[in-house]
Amino acid sequence: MLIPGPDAVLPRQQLEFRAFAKGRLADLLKLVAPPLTQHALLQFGFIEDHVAALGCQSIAIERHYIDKDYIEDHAIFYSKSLYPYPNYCQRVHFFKITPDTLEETITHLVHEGRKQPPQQHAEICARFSDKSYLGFSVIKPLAGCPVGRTVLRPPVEVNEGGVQSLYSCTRFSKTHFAGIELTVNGLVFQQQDTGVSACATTAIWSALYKIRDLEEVSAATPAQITLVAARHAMPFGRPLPSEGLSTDQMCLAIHALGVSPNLFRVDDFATARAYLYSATKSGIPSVLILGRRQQDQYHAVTIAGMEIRTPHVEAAVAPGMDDEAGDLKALYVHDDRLGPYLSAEVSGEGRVLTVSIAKESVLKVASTPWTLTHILIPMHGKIRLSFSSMREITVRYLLPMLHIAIQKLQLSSAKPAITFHNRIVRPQEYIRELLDRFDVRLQCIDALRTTVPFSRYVGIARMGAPFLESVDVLFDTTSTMRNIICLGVLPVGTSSNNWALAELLAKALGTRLLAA
Amino acid sequence: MAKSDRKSAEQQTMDEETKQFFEKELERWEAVTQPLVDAIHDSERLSDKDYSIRINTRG
Repeated sequence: MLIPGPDAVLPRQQLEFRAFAKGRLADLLKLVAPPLTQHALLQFGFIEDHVAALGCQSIAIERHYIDKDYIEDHAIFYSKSLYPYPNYCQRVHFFKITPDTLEETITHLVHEGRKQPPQQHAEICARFSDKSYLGFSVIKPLAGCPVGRTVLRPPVEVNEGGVQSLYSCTRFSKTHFAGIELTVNGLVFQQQDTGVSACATTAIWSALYKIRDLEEVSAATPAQITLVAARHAMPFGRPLPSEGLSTDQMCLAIHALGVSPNLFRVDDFATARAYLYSATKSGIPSVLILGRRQQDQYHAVTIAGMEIRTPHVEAAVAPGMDDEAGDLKALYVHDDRLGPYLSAEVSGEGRVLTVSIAKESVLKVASTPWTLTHILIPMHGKIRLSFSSMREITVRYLLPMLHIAIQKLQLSSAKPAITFHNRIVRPQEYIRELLDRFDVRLQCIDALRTTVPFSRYVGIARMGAPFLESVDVLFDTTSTMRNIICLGVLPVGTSSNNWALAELLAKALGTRLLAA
Repeated sequence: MAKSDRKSAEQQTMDEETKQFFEKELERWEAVTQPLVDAIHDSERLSDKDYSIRINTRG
């Protein structure tokens, strides 16, 4: 049998190195909005704006790129169309390096591999990525929705002017280009195509991308998510072309992919705000179900981070209980109708929490704020004490006990406001955080790491006030509300009052004081 | 501090008097915390209606 020559059958890769100029990227990628479509290049424009704001100076284009997500979309859906959609994409990489040196630098980095052992070569590439690489975007051969798998750095975190930005739901991932390994920290984004995925599918896909940083969850493509969602229930018609998912189907899809869906209804502003704050601070991306009930319109977006007020402003949820979540000012969301890392202001009172997504007005649809109806948090199945349970334990038992301990030790005459928050994190991450704090004694960290048998995730209730510093109460997240297992109390402070309080609280809880 | 060191990483216990003090005071706190606990329970109380929302905003 004759094997055809490479030029006859195999496409030839073309790498192009170009200067980045805002407004010209669509031409470079040969993108033309097709007739009879609205907003075809809107998301593309948002990406262009985003990388420009990050200081992009140059781009590298792979003209022939097989994308793991699109090839699946192609196999399941686009290959069965009359129009012969190609099975490959383009991929564009963004760099903060001048265009005249980009190609030379990449070649130099590859050649360094001849001189350096693999580990050192990888470190050189990582340093280059850290300094100059902004991420990539896969450009699908779908003129009406070209933006495919896109991982970009978030905006630079700021801590000034009374606000602090925190992109905690991002992760590092590796990609390969022209023989070098590039690293980027971000949360995956794509434009909805309404062929294999609409907003609900895309929001789950983005959230699971981050979960894979914590757990060995199989990487599911948008097409696979849509299909598993429709495996056991199809309340709203055929799965493909995607006609959206129900909340039930979203939960089924998350469960089928090995993760546990934690769904909460939003009936109370302060409670919902606390869940969002705790999950985002824990680095667990929530999917927000947003509604415009009067129009019977529902949308899903994924949280990439949050903006918080600083310094802390007291937010009393009950006498003596100051919820740190009150500092939540805005969320950064991936909205597949618009773009990545969009600021979404959080406001509300009473039973309602509203979310106003920045730049939504460009869609020229109703731009009234969305009402948050549900929060869907994908988490490891072993976490039984979720954010709701942690909050209940804290407000029902821990905060009153701390107040009683303060009264017993006569540390304050009045009922002071105790600031609190909850998190659920991997123990190693918690220890790392404590090591960075100089108000935690090493003997406490040693007691923690040598005497506590950790669950896979540890639930933390941190409570504090200026006059007493802070106290952490740790919980086994595999326990349940009927059988709560407290792992210990750790003083986050050095004063004698702080330690005395931690000790009395440990006694009241019948648990260990982690202070050896 | 010395006391803390001595009892380090051991299960802590309270004398009966302190225990009773805590129990009594905790009862007083119930009225304060109940609305917060109710709000948490409401967020967890899901019905068929919650699972049947159709999410399909296009853009």
